[in-house]
Amino acid sequence: MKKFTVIDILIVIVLIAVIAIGGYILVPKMLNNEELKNVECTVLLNDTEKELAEAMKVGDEVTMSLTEKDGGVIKSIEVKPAEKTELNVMSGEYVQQTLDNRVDIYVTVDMKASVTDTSVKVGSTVFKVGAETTLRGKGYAAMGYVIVIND
Amino acid sequence: MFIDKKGKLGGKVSIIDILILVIILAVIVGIGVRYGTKITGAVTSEKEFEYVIKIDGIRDYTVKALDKKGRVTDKRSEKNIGEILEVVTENGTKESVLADGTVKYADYPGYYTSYVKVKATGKESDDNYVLDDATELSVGRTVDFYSKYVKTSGVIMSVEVIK
Repeated sequence: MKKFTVIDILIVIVLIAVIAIGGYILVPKMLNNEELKNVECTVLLNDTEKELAEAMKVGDEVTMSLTEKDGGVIKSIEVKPAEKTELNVMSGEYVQQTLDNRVDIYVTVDMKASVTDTSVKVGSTVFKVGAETTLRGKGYAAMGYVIVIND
Repeated sequence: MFIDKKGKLGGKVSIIDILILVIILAVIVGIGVRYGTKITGAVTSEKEFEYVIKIDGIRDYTVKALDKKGRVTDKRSEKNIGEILEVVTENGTKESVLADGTVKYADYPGYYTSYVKVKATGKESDDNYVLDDATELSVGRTVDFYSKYVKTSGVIMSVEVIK
Protein backbone atom coordinates (compact mmCIF):
# COMPACT_ATOMS: atom_id res chain seq x y z
CA MET A 1 0.00 0.00 0.00
CA LYS A 2 1.29 3.46 -0.95
CA LYS A 3 2.43 5.50 2.02
CA PHE A 4 1.00 8.95 2.60
CA THR A 5 3.52 11.77 2.12
CA VAL A 6 3.57 15.09 3.94
CA ILE A 7 2.22 16.75 0.79
CA ASP A 8 -0.79 14.39 0.71
CA ILE A 9 -1.55 15.24 4.34
CA LEU A 10 -1.31 18.99 3.60
CA ILE A 11 -3.70 18.66 0.68
CA VAL A 12 -6.21 16.81 2.87
CA ILE A 13 -5.93 19.51 5.56
CA VAL A 14 -6.58 22.25 3.01
CA LEU A 15 -9.60 20.38 1.59
CA ILE A 16 -11.06 19.89 5.08
CA ALA A 17 -10.51 23.59 5.83
CA VAL A 18 -12.29 24.61 2.60
CA ILE A 19 -15.27 22.34 3.36
CA ALA A 20 -15.45 23.61 6.97
CA ILE A 21 -15.31 27.29 5.95
CA GLY A 22 -17.84 26.71 3.17
CA GLY A 23 -20.20 24.95 5.55
CA TYR A 24 -19.80 27.71 8.15
CA ILE A 25 -20.80 30.33 5.58
CA LEU A 26 -23.47 28.44 3.61
CA VAL A 27 -25.32 26.26 6.15
CA PRO A 28 -26.76 29.16 8.21
CA LYS A 29 -28.07 30.72 4.98
CA MET A 30 -29.68 27.43 3.92
CA LEU A 31 -31.31 26.93 7.33
CA ASN A 32 -32.42 30.54 7.58
CA ASN A 33 -36.19 30.58 7.94
CA GLU A 34 -36.67 34.08 9.32
CA GLU A 35 -40.12 35.54 9.03
CA LEU A 36 -40.86 37.62 5.93
CA LYS A 37 -42.67 40.95 6.07
CA ASN A 38 -44.95 42.64 3.56
CA VAL A 39 -43.00 45.56 2.14
CA GLU A 40 -43.97 48.14 -0.49
CA CYS A 41 -41.35 49.35 -2.90
CA THR A 42 -41.89 52.12 -5.45
CA VAL A 43 -39.72 52.26 -8.54
CA LEU A 44 -39.47 55.34 -10.76
CA LEU A 45 -38.99 54.72 -14.48
CA ASN A 46 -38.24 58.23 -15.61
CA ASP A 47 -38.24 59.87 -19.02
CA THR A 48 -39.67 56.88 -20.85
CA GLU A 49 -42.35 55.96 -23.40
CA LYS A 50 -46.01 55.78 -22.37
CA GLU A 51 -46.26 52.42 -24.18
CA LEU A 52 -44.20 50.92 -21.35
CA ALA A 53 -46.87 51.89 -18.82
CA GLU A 54 -49.56 50.46 -21.12
CA ALA A 55 -47.74 47.11 -21.19
CA MET A 56 -47.87 46.80 -17.38
CA LYS A 57 -50.91 45.77 -15.33
CA VAL A 58 -51.73 45.78 -11.64
CA GLY A 59 -51.32 42.20 -10.43
CA ASP A 60 -48.38 41.39 -12.72
CA GLU A 61 -45.59 39.39 -11.13
CA VAL A 62 -42.33 41.24 -11.72
CA THR A 63 -38.68 40.33 -11.25
CA MET A 64 -36.43 43.01 -9.81
CA SER A 65 -33.06 41.35 -10.14
CA LEU A 66 -30.82 40.68 -13.13
CA THR A 67 -29.64 37.32 -11.86
CA GLU A 68 -32.34 36.01 -9.51
CA LYS A 69 -36.11 35.61 -9.52
CA ASP A 70 -36.51 38.07 -6.62
CA GLY A 71 -39.39 40.52 -6.99
CA GLY A 72 -43.05 40.96 -6.17
CA VAL A 73 -46.48 41.86 -7.49
CA ILE A 74 -47.43 45.23 -8.98
CA LYS A 75 -49.82 47.04 -6.65
CA SER A 76 -50.20 50.33 -8.52
CA ILE A 77 -49.01 52.17 -11.61
CA GLU A 78 -49.02 55.97 -11.82
CA VAL A 79 -48.06 57.86 -14.96
CA LYS A 80 -47.09 61.53 -14.97
CA PRO A 81 -45.61 63.78 -17.65
CA ALA A 82 -41.82 63.53 -17.57
CA GLU A 83 -40.03 66.50 -16.05
CA LYS A 84 -36.49 67.66 -16.41
CA THR A 85 -34.52 70.45 -14.77
CA GLU A 86 -32.44 72.42 -17.22
CA LEU A 87 -30.42 75.60 -17.20
CA ASN A 88 -31.69 78.82 -18.79
CA VAL A 89 -28.33 80.15 -20.01
CA MET A 90 -29.67 83.67 -20.33
CA SER A 91 -30.93 84.09 -16.79
CA GLY A 92 -28.72 81.52 -15.08
CA GLU A 93 -31.78 79.97 -13.44
CA TYR A 94 -32.61 76.30 -13.42
CA VAL A 95 -36.16 75.64 -14.52
CA GLN A 96 -38.28 72.51 -14.39
CA GLN A 97 -40.02 71.74 -17.61
CA THR A 98 -42.28 69.06 -18.93
CA LEU A 99 -41.06 66.90 -21.79
CA ASP A 100 -43.43 66.31 -24.69
CA ASN A 101 -44.39 62.70 -25.37
CA ARG A 102 -42.32 61.35 -22.47
CA VAL A 103 -43.57 60.07 -19.12
CA ASP A 104 -42.38 59.22 -15.63
CA ILE A 105 -43.89 55.93 -14.41
CA TYR A 106 -44.20 55.22 -10.70
CA VAL A 107 -44.63 51.48 -10.09
CA THR A 108 -45.42 50.27 -6.57
CA VAL A 109 -44.64 46.63 -5.92
CA ASP A 110 -45.75 44.46 -3.00
CA MET A 111 -42.94 42.19 -1.85
CA LYS A 112 -42.27 39.60 0.85
CA ALA A 113 -39.01 40.77 2.34
CA SER A 114 -36.59 39.97 5.10
CA VAL A 115 -36.21 43.18 7.15
CA THR A 116 -33.24 43.58 9.49
CA ASP A 117 -31.41 46.51 11.09
CA THR A 118 -29.19 46.82 8.04
CA SER A 119 -31.30 45.94 5.03
CA VAL A 120 -34.58 45.18 3.32
CA LYS A 121 -33.97 42.09 1.22
CA VAL A 122 -36.06 39.92 -1.07
CA GLY A 123 -34.26 36.63 -1.53
CA SER A 124 -30.67 37.72 -2.08
CA THR A 125 -31.55 41.14 -3.57
CA VAL A 126 -31.16 44.19 -1.34
CA PHE A 127 -33.42 47.18 -1.94
CA LYS A 128 -32.41 50.73 -1.07
CA VAL A 129 -33.73 54.16 -2.08
CA GLY A 130 -31.42 55.57 -4.73
CA ALA A 131 -30.34 52.17 -6.02
CA GLU A 132 -30.90 51.28 -9.64
CA THR A 133 -33.11 48.26 -10.21
CA THR A 134 -34.55 46.27 -13.06
CA LEU A 135 -38.28 45.75 -13.45
CA ARG A 136 -39.16 42.81 -15.67
CA GLY A 137 -42.57 41.37 -16.34
CA LYS A 138 -44.12 39.27 -19.05
CA GLY A 139 -43.50 41.24 -22.25
CA TYR A 140 -41.69 44.25 -20.79
CA ALA A 141 -38.45 45.21 -19.11
CA ALA A 142 -37.06 48.50 -17.85
CA MET A 143 -34.45 50.00 -15.55
CA GLY A 144 -35.41 52.47 -12.86
CA TYR A 145 -34.58 53.72 -9.41
CA VAL A 146 -36.06 52.71 -6.06
CA ILE A 147 -37.61 55.85 -4.57
CA VAL A 148 -39.72 54.57 -1.68
CA ILE A 149 -39.48 51.61 0.69
CA ASN A 150 -42.26 51.16 3.24
CA ASP A 151 -41.49 48.33 5.65
CA MET B 1 21.68 14.40 -11.37
CA PHE B 2 19.71 16.97 -9.32
CA ILE B 3 16.35 15.71 -10.65
CA ASP B 4 16.29 11.99 -11.40
CA LYS B 5 14.41 10.22 -14.21
CA LYS B 6 11.31 9.83 -12.00
CA GLY B 7 11.06 13.59 -11.49
CA LYS B 8 12.28 13.50 -7.89
CA LEU B 9 14.69 15.97 -6.37
CA GLY B 10 17.72 14.11 -5.07
CA GLY B 11 15.80 10.93 -5.80
CA LYS B 12 13.50 11.53 -2.81
CA VAL B 13 10.96 14.41 -3.16
CA SER B 14 8.66 14.62 -6.19
CA ILE B 15 8.89 17.93 -8.08
CA ILE B 16 5.12 17.80 -8.63
CA ASP B 17 4.48 17.62 -4.87
CA ILE B 18 6.71 20.66 -4.39
CA LEU B 19 4.84 22.59 -7.09
CA ILE B 20 1.50 21.76 -5.44
CA LEU B 21 2.85 22.94 -2.10
CA VAL B 22 4.04 26.21 -3.65
CA ILE B 23 0.61 26.81 -5.23
CA ILE B 24 -1.20 26.11 -1.93
CA LEU B 25 1.09 28.51 -0.09
CA ALA B 26 0.57 31.17 -2.79
CA VAL B 27 -3.23 30.83 -2.45
CA ILE B 28 -3.04 31.17 1.34
CA VAL B 29 -0.80 34.24 1.07
CA GLY B 30 -3.02 35.72 -1.63
CA ILE B 31 -6.15 35.28 0.52
CA GLY B 32 -4.35 36.86 3.46
CA VAL B 33 -3.28 39.87 1.40
CA ARG B 34 -6.67 40.24 -0.31
CA TYR B 35 -8.87 40.00 2.75
CA GLY B 36 -6.46 41.28 5.35
CA THR B 37 -6.71 44.80 6.78
CA LYS B 38 -6.10 47.64 4.36
CA ILE B 39 -4.54 49.83 7.04
CA THR B 40 -0.96 50.41 6.00
CA GLY B 41 0.25 51.85 9.25
CA ALA B 42 0.21 50.06 12.56
CA VAL B 43 -3.30 49.94 14.06
CA THR B 44 -3.24 51.72 17.36
CA SER B 45 -6.76 51.32 18.74
CA GLU B 46 -10.46 50.76 18.22
CA LYS B 47 -12.25 54.09 17.99
CA GLU B 48 -15.68 55.62 17.78
CA PHE B 49 -16.11 58.51 15.33
CA GLU B 50 -18.68 61.13 14.49
CA TYR B 51 -18.48 62.38 10.93
CA VAL B 52 -20.61 64.56 8.70
CA ILE B 53 -21.17 63.67 5.07
CA LYS B 54 -22.59 66.16 2.56
CA ILE B 55 -24.89 64.57 0.01
CA ASP B 56 -25.63 66.85 -2.94
CA GLY B 57 -28.23 66.85 -5.66
CA ILE B 58 -30.68 64.40 -4.15
CA ARG B 59 -34.42 64.21 -4.70
CA ASP B 60 -36.99 64.42 -1.95
CA TYR B 61 -37.36 60.60 -1.99
CA THR B 62 -33.79 60.22 -0.81
CA VAL B 63 -34.21 62.98 1.77
CA LYS B 64 -37.24 61.17 3.25
CA ALA B 65 -35.32 57.90 3.32
CA LEU B 66 -32.38 59.61 5.08
CA ASP B 67 -34.81 61.16 7.58
CA LYS B 68 -35.78 57.62 8.62
CA LYS B 69 -32.21 57.43 9.98
CA GLY B 70 -31.29 53.90 11.12
CA ARG B 71 -28.12 51.89 10.75
CA VAL B 72 -25.20 52.67 8.46
CA THR B 73 -23.95 49.55 6.73
CA ASP B 74 -21.19 48.24 4.51
CA LYS B 75 -21.65 47.86 0.75
CA ARG B 76 -23.29 44.43 1.09
CA SER B 77 -25.66 45.56 3.86
CA GLU B 78 -24.31 42.80 6.06
CA LYS B 79 -22.20 44.72 8.55
CA ASN B 80 -23.58 47.33 10.95
CA ILE B 81 -20.89 50.01 11.10
CA GLY B 82 -22.77 52.91 12.65
CA GLU B 83 -25.95 54.89 12.87
CA ILE B 84 -27.36 58.14 11.51
CA LEU B 85 -27.66 60.70 14.30
CA GLU B 86 -28.96 63.77 12.51
CA VAL B 87 -29.98 64.92 9.03
CA VAL B 88 -30.08 68.61 8.08
CA THR B 89 -31.43 69.39 4.61
CA GLU B 90 -31.47 72.57 2.56
CA ASN B 91 -32.56 73.47 -0.96
CA GLY B 92 -30.09 72.37 -3.57
CA THR B 93 -27.97 74.73 -5.63
CA LYS B 94 -25.95 74.07 -8.75
CA GLU B 95 -23.23 75.91 -10.57
CA SER B 96 -24.39 77.45 -13.79
CA VAL B 97 -22.45 79.27 -16.51
CA LEU B 98 -24.33 82.05 -18.23
CA ALA B 99 -24.08 82.92 -21.92
CA ASP B 100 -21.70 85.77 -21.04
CA GLY B 101 -19.41 83.41 -19.13
CA THR B 102 -20.53 84.49 -15.65
CA VAL B 103 -20.53 81.66 -13.10
CA LYS B 104 -23.50 81.63 -10.76
CA TYR B 105 -24.81 79.28 -8.09
CA ALA B 106 -28.52 79.05 -8.75
CA ASP B 107 -31.30 77.26 -6.93
CA TYR B 108 -31.77 73.74 -8.30
CA PRO B 109 -35.51 73.12 -7.98
CA GLY B 110 -36.57 69.64 -6.92
CA TYR B 111 -33.10 68.80 -5.61
CA TYR B 112 -31.66 69.06 -2.14
CA THR B 113 -28.44 68.95 -0.16
CA SER B 114 -28.38 66.94 3.07
CA TYR B 115 -25.76 67.04 5.79
CA VAL B 116 -25.84 63.68 7.57
CA LYS B 117 -24.14 63.23 10.92
CA VAL B 118 -23.08 59.63 11.55
CA LYS B 119 -21.73 57.82 14.60
CA ALA B 120 -19.52 54.94 13.49
CA THR B 121 -16.89 52.52 14.75
CA GLY B 122 -13.52 51.89 13.25
CA LYS B 123 -9.81 51.97 13.83
CA GLU B 124 -7.13 54.60 14.15
CA SER B 125 -3.68 54.06 12.73
CA ASP B 126 -0.60 56.25 12.49
CA ASP B 127 -1.75 57.47 9.08
CA ASN B 128 -5.51 57.59 9.08
CA TYR B 129 -8.92 56.73 10.44
CA VAL B 130 -10.69 53.73 8.95
CA LEU B 131 -14.26 52.49 9.40
CA ASP B 132 -15.07 48.84 10.11
CA ASP B 133 -15.79 48.28 6.40
CA ALA B 134 -12.30 49.57 5.51
CA THR B 135 -13.57 52.97 4.24
CA GLU B 136 -10.95 55.62 4.88
CA LEU B 137 -12.43 58.48 6.87
CA SER B 138 -10.84 61.64 5.48
CA VAL B 139 -12.29 65.13 5.11
CA GLY B 140 -12.70 65.89 1.43
CA ARG B 141 -13.01 62.27 0.40
CA THR B 142 -16.03 61.18 -1.68
CA VAL B 143 -17.40 57.94 -0.32
CA ASP B 144 -20.32 55.64 -1.02
CA PHE B 145 -22.92 55.77 1.75
CA TYR B 146 -25.23 52.89 2.63
CA SER B 147 -27.88 52.87 5.33
CA LYS B 148 -30.75 50.45 5.90
CA TYR B 149 -32.91 52.45 3.47
CA VAL B 150 -30.50 54.46 1.28
CA LYS B 151 -27.70 54.02 -1.23
CA THR B 152 -25.97 57.25 -2.23
CA SER B 153 -22.60 58.99 -2.09
CA GLY B 154 -21.24 62.19 -0.64
CA VAL B 155 -18.24 64.16 0.55
CA ILE B 156 -16.94 63.87 4.10
CA MET B 157 -17.03 67.35 5.65
CA SER B 158 -15.78 66.69 9.18
CA VAL B 159 -14.40 63.86 11.31
CA GLU B 160 -14.27 63.80 15.09
CA VAL B 161 -12.86 61.06 17.31
CA ILE B 162 -15.33 60.53 20.17
CA LYS B 163 -13.60 57.78 22.18
